[in-house]
Amino acid sequence: MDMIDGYLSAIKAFLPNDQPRDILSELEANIMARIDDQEAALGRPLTDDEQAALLKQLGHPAVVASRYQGSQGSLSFGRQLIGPPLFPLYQRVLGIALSIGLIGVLVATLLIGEPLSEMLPTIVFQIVLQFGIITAIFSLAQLHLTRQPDAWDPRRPLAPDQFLTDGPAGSRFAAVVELAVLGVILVVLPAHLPLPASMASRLTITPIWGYLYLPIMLLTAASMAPPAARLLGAAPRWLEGLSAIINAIWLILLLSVTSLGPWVVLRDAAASAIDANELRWINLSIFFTLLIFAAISAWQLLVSLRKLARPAT
Amino acid sequence: MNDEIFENLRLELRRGSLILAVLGQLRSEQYGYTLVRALADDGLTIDEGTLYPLLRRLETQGLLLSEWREEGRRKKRFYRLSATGERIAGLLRAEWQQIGHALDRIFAADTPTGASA
Repeated sequence: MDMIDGYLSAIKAFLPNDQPRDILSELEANIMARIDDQEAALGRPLTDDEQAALLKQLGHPAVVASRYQGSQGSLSFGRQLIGPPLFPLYQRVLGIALSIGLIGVLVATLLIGEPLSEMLPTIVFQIVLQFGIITAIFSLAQLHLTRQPDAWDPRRPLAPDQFLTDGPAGSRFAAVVELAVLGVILVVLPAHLPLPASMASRLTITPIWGYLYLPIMLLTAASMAPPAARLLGAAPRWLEGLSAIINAIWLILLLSVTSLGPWVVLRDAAASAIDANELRWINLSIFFTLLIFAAISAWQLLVSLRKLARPAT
Repeated sequence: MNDEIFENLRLELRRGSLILAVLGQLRSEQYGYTLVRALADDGLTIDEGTLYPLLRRLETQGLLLSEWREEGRRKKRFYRLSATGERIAGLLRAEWQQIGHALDRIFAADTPTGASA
């Protein structure tokens, strides 16, 4: 009964909120009638495998739920990219990613002190970037669902909320947040190297950042691959290996940069004591930020290495 | 490629006849699972995931009536044709027979009507 309850819960979660609850009652009644029939024929209760086979014949919860939807939303561009079964979930994930991305850009705007009008191109690019990443991920998921409609396990018929929190490769919600944050970095960083306009008249970045710009951009883009794969539910061992390599490179890069200070200098060497003091605090903040990110990279590297050290299942 | 084309066209042909088949079966009261079995026994297999939303749609359109009843130890939703459903089923059946006769004439002729010899 747990498997059937889980299956029905998954269908319920994919149904629009305005759908009557008797849809599920009817589905349950028909599933139980089928089970009763098979058990009467076999003279015994169905095994878990037999129940799973029966539910598989009914179809994936997202597909079953989509047939009850009045207006079948989808995303097409020439050909259909995201079909009715996945479209409601796609809308939800896109909403989360865009919200986090926009909040991230707005927070960065406040911290940097740029006027909002100056940040508009950054905000637009953020929207386009998040839309592109999430749409690409869901298009791949749709392609997988279309080509392999039977590649799902009735023992784990994930509802959208569970889809987000309980993926085979870890929390999908965490993956969405990670993608959104990396997207913010990719968009905000190029717009604000060198320094924001409010500081640019008095301070300037050291030449080291010119050498670091491309590696940081490339590493940030590469860092999006593991959370993108986790969002799709992929958990191959090579993904953990890739994460380990990326985190190792981040660790080496960040530790190297900590020894290459200062990272910001005064434009006018004969500046006031206040400016010199501000400069000291800025460089100190950068130093500790680099150490914190290095520590995070080291931790993630250790986690990846531990997962790789475990025997493959 | 030809198999794929045939399969797609076959599904389109079946889709068009499914509603009439369901209305025909519901001249006697049934619930979802027995309806699936009855259709299969008469040679028309239908995906349960397709049938149940179809039944809801036909009921919304006023062609079917339903009620929950307890049978055995379970509550089930029984469907039957409404008065409107009976009338529409009759009209659709007549339409279907007309189409069938036309197709029979088309395929019986050595050369289709209008084609040059």
